[in-house]
Amino acid sequence: MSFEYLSEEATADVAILAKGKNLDEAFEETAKAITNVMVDLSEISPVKEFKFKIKSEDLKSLLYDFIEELITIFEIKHLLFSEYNVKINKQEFSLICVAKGEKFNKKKHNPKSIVKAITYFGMEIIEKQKETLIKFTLDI
Amino acid sequence: MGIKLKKLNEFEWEIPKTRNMNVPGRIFASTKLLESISHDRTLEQLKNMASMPGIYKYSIALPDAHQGYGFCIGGVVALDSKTGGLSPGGVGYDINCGVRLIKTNLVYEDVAPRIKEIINKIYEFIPAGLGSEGRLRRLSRDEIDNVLNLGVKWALEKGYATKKDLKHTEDEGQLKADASLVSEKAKSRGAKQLGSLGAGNHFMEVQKVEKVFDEKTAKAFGLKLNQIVLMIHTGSRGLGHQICSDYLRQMERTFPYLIKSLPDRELIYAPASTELCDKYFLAMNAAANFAWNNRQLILYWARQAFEKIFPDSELEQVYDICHNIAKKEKHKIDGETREVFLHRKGATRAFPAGRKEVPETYKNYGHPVLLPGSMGTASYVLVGTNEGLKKTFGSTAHGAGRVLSRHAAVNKARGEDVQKQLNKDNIVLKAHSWRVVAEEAPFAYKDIDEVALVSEKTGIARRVVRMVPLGVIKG
Repeated sequence: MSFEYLSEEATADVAILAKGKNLDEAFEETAKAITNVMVDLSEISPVKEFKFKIKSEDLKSLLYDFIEELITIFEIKHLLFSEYNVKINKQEFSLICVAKGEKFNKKKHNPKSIVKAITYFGMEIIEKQKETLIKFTLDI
Repeated sequence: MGIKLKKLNEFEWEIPKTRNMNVPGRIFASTKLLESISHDRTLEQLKNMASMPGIYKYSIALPDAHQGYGFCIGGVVALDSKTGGLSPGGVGYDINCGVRLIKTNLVYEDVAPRIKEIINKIYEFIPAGLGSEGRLRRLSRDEIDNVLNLGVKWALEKGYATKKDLKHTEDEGQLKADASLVSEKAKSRGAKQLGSLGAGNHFMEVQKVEKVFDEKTAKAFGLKLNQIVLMIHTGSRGLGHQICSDYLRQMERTFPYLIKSLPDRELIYAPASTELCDKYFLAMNAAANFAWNNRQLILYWARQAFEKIFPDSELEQVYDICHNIAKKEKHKIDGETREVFLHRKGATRAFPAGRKEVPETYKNYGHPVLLPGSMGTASYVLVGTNEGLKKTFGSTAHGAGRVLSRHAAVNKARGEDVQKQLNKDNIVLKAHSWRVVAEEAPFAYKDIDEVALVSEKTGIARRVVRMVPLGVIKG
């Protein structure tokens, strides 16, 4: 559905609020919000597919591990994605993500900020009937 | 948040101990700095820090403190090394983020007419910005392990460092570390990034010494009025960030019962004297060694850049100091000598004469304490005091400290406008990202002069020299 950056919530870092109609979609919006910190989402062409799995111990650590994986995929493989499809297994705290994007290219993608890491500080995952909200802070 | 403060004197404030706190919180700030410290969640984080196990005296917020994650930035905590704990969130993701100051044999009149040339050359020679990688050929795993285990001794062996560089680096650029405790993922992130500046608040600046406060100490540090110096501010890049994440998650899995008892999950720690505590300590030290080599390579290429423009230039290291680290240190606390894990997160060690950690050259003065300003503002060299040793375990601020969020800064000005303003002030700026320039605009930071002054007024450090920038490079 959407994501926004919360300027009042983090002095040195970036606080993000992502919204989806369910948990899967909220995770997808989260991923987009993070990519958009690095380069404008609109500059990425979804030409290459990349799939990964995550397994954690609870919902918050699943979010933590998911975002950490996205950061490392960028740093090691230099891949950026504009489309995400996330399927979460809530009983096992695991997920499968299929992302579409391309290799970072300074000539095509205007560099914005480097994301150092995801943090637990102020992390909230609120599941309502028609909407799921995710709030968290990145170390920049 | 409504946290009540008790005023102890003009520059010291206390959060009295309440339930969940093991000790009180202590803030070192002027009324003006306290105002910006109070407007985010810094004080709440300071309270949380006071709940850590085996904590001595009080949790500390320094004059540049602001909200972080887990611990506040500009935060200091001493936990007993046998009965306390070690917390990745008390060190930060950018392990051994730090500052290096290099003096030159050039003066303002030599460099001012050619500042654009030298900034362009440094920009060309030193990789920075999103996705940047170092200029070394891809390092083998064995080589990476040497970087992690040997610290700057690796760079010395390879010809990237001089013996003098080593002597003028905190802990001589090598902490006891074990590369086998660093994950493959962390090594993969680090292998390519060694010798790159990064982005965010990291920078390189060509500065001139504009004011000398303490002639004798300045002379001992080799600094004089009008002299040109070079400042490098960066850390352990993706390698350090990954080590912090890896161990934070491992601590959660090993000590799940701790999560519930903590006010913020980011405060997770390994209890002292556990295997995981020892492992994180050696892995964190490996990241610190990586960071020192990172800044060393940047210096190596900066020397080459200077040589291209000023063939007779000589660049000598004044000091290199970390401001995101936990050290095993001995401190006298209530009459007893105790060994602690001294967590400094966005805080700088400031040891006076008499401590064994001070290098031989500076032993009668204390080591230089480097206080980088924000882009386009002044920076300082301070020196530690005996009073600081008692009050803050020998620690002081690490910079100006943010006052506006990155997002708020971007809403206030465009990167291009910030550059224009800097040009008006005769400061040359080269940056890889306009967005970062806007985020790092000088108005987003506290007043560095006030931070340095308050450090001196509280007695925790003394001002030695003030530098102003002629040229800046941002990621």
